[in-house]
Amino acid sequence: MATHGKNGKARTNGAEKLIELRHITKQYMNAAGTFTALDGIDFEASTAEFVAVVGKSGSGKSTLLNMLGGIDTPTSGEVIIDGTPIHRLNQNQLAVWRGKHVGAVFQFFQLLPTLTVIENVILPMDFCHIIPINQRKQRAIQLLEQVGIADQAYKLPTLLSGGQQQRAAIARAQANDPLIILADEPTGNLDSHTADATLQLFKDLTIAGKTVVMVTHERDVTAWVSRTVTLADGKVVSNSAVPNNREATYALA
Amino acid sequence: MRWRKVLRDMWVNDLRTILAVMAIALGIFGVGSILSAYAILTREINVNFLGTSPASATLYTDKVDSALVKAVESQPGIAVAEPRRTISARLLIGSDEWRPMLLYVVDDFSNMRLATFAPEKGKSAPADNEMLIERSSLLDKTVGDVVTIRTPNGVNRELPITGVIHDAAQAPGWQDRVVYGYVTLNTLAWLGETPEFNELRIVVSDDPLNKAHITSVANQIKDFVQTQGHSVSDVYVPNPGEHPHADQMNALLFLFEAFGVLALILSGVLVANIINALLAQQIRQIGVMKAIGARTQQIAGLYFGAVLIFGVLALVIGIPLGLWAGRLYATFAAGFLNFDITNNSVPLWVLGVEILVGLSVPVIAAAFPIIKGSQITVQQSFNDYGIGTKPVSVTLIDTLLLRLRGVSRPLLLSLRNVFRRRVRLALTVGVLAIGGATFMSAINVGVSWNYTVEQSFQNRHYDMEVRFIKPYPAAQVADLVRNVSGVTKVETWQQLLAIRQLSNSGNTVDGIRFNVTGLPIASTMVTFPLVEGRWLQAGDTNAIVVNHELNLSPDWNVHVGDPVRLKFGDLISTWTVVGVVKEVGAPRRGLGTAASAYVPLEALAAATNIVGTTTNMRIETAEHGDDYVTAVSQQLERQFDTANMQRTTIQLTTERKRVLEEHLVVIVAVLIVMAILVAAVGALALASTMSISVMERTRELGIMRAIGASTGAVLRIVITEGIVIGLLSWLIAVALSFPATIVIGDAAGTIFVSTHLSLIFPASAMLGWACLILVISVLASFFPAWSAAQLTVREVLAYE
Repeated sequence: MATHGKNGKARTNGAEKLIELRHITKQYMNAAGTFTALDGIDFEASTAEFVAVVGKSGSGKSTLLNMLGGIDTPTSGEVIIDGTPIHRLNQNQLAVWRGKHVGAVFQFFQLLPTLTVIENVILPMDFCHIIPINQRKQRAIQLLEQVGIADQAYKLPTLLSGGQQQRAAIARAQANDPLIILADEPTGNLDSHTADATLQLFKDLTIAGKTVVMVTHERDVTAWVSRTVTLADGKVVSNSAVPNNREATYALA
Repeated sequence: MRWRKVLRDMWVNDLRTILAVMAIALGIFGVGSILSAYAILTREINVNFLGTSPASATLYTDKVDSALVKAVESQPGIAVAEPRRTISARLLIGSDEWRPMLLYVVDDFSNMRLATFAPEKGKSAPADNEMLIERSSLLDKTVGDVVTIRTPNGVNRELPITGVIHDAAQAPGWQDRVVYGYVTLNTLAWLGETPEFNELRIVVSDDPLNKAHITSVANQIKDFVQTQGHSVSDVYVPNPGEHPHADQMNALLFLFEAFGVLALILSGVLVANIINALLAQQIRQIGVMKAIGARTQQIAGLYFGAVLIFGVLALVIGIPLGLWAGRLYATFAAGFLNFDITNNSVPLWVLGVEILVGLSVPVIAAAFPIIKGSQITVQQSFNDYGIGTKPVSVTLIDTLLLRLRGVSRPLLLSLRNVFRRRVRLALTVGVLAIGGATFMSAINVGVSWNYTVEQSFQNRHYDMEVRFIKPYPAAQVADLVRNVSGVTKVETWQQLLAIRQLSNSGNTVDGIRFNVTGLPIASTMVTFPLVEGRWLQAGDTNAIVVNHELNLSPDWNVHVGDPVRLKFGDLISTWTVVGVVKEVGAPRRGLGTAASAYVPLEALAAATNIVGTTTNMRIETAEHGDDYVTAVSQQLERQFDTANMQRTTIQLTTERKRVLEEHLVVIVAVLIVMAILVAAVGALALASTMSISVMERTRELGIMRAIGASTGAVLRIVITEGIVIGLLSWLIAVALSFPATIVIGDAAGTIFVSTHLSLIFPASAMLGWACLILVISVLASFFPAWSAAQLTVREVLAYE
């Protein structure tokens, strides 16, 4: 599937910057004083990149992901996604923006337990009204087929295995055909075999033109990602491309 | 240290603490208000009514003089004897408009020892040619006003009101539309009547509340009076210690008791609901406490402690509120029964019961969730995170909901969320449904009452009834009335008091007293529906048709076909019961009962030797509107005045209907107030359910925000859930309203007209409640929905 910029211009140049974080600082106030989660960092990601953000617990990687998804706002600095300065949007505008531009995948899958798998996938379409009503079900089935669980479409999430639930969550993340998929420890609750399959799904998405930013702390993901950004104490301490994967991505883009 | 945790939990979860305390306070309020009202009313009715020293019995004689009174008072078993006279008179309240009055003639106002009253304004003893009035009689008249009255044998006389008194033994005059006046014997002479007493009222000295004993003593006195050379026409023994409107107070108390029980149940349900949710939030903490060594009993103890603290806080709120409501209700009921609350203090036992309820109900209601919650293992508690991790049991409802097609996912979410916590849903729906059923029943009973009254008045084909104070020649009266323009049909009837004669060990004793109406067999003025047997027909001689009130009286026990002996004055005759009719709203006419019977006019004349006179007539007019009939009645008043014919009243049929309709207004009002209170509780239950539900699903709502749900979408999902719960409760409320209407309708019908009401279930009641429940649902779910929509995704994802 081709990806499009906010003005509808086709993105054929994989090097175009889709995500830009400029001098982001995030501080939290608590009883013990001020805690700096992100300390003036810059971060960029281009279309069809698969970026892994790694670091120890408390390094600021989840805060960084929250900035990208408009889940959290910076104390200072700018968050520009596909040309939109999302740090200037209010909560309601952010919710709508998120539904259209970002797909989220969580560690505990977070499928809504009272909706069937296919209904979970259609839900973001119902919220955002981008996909016409008569195409939503068909699109959901296609997405479930892509992740290999179309046969589970009409089951409640609790009847699925962890791996299947995470696949359903990845299908849901693509519901409105967003440019960016954000994944917070998506393999943290999966066995290694299922985790590998999930990472492969993400890699497949980048081949299809999506940008995936994934937070992880537990394993070596260099076999799948195109770049690894390492955080420590709220600062970027390394930003290293994984050449082979990057080439593979661009070759297919 | 652990108690510090309990207190801090309560402080941190302020909303849940407030909800729990409010729920318990509600139960205390319900019980407290009932018990306070009950304690005050039962005490005050004694203070007021028994405080008037009501007569145990009244003997009607030819003449009572002071020698007879003294002689009777010296008889064994007699504490007090006093002479009285009661005259039916009329009081002018507008041009040509009269109101019936009862004029009580007292021997010595300064030394009344029975049937006393309390002065309120002006004099307590009228001088000659003055009058005292009972305070509930003439609400627009007071001391200094001059009124015109007329007695049966007198002419119009103007006399000043010199005092307003409170006679707690009288039913409120405004309700029965009667004026109570009090005059001296000399005033009676001045009014045109013979200045003599004819009632001997007595109070027995022993066992004053035992009717059998009183009857026995009264019969002994009757014999004694007869030995003194006097005749005794009647002995009347009222139900001892019973206020004339006691049945209405009992009806109100019954409703109030029902409300108290309801409040107690609802309180328990709410508490169980809230504690259940509170424990669901504490599962992790329970796991942690167990992991560091706490035993199940210690955990349970902690939460029972919390519940007891809730109970104590609720007592602080519930006790004063219950006391306030109880006093308010007692004052309301007292006004309805014409007595004063002299002391509104509440006995200590009421406080004791409130404390017991405040502490035991929450403990009982919370016992199951606490015991269950505290038994959770460390492992189970630590596995309780995220959404969708708990296995969902699939029930029939789930299967049906899963098959729903053509519904948007947000609406599906709302629908399925409703059925997630089924026990909580059942409790909330139950509370709302009870409120709805009460509301609809109140309206249904009100409408059914009016319909029953309407139906019964369709059986009366006359526009007015004239009651004469004494008999007049029937032909003369009929001619006079026929000459009034607008009158199309006239019937002259005879109405007399009958006393049933019973055989007791060979002696004849008096039984039930009731009005017997003699009417032409061919009369078309009334067509009462038959309950049993038949109506009067041509050829009937001593046939009698009784109304359902008489038929149901425990003192009657006569079946169709049975003979019955009746005494009219001194004459005894035998009649055969041929039928029973349903006569809703038969006038009580001072007997305290609406028992009455119908016989052929000729047969009554033959049995009583009263021939060719009338005491009661029914008139039909050309048109039936209020204004037209009133105009005709005013012409009639002038005609009767000219002919010097004394009547108690000319009562318009529409007016009589209105009086009857108004009898239930208070009951319906109380029911509606109850319904509103229960609905408010329902709203509280729904609000608590929704806020708990939103709290439990905070993470889920955050996920929805994360995948694109706008503030509006979240609001819609939560509010729709509230509306679905409301509509579910509406369905159950509609179903419940049918049996509830039958029970309340039967109770109201039995108390007021001794029959079942013709029940009606108007769509307006159901639609009205549907609208109300929608408003309640939206209001009750808006705040939780708004709070949910305000949470940022980051806050939500960090939520534990």
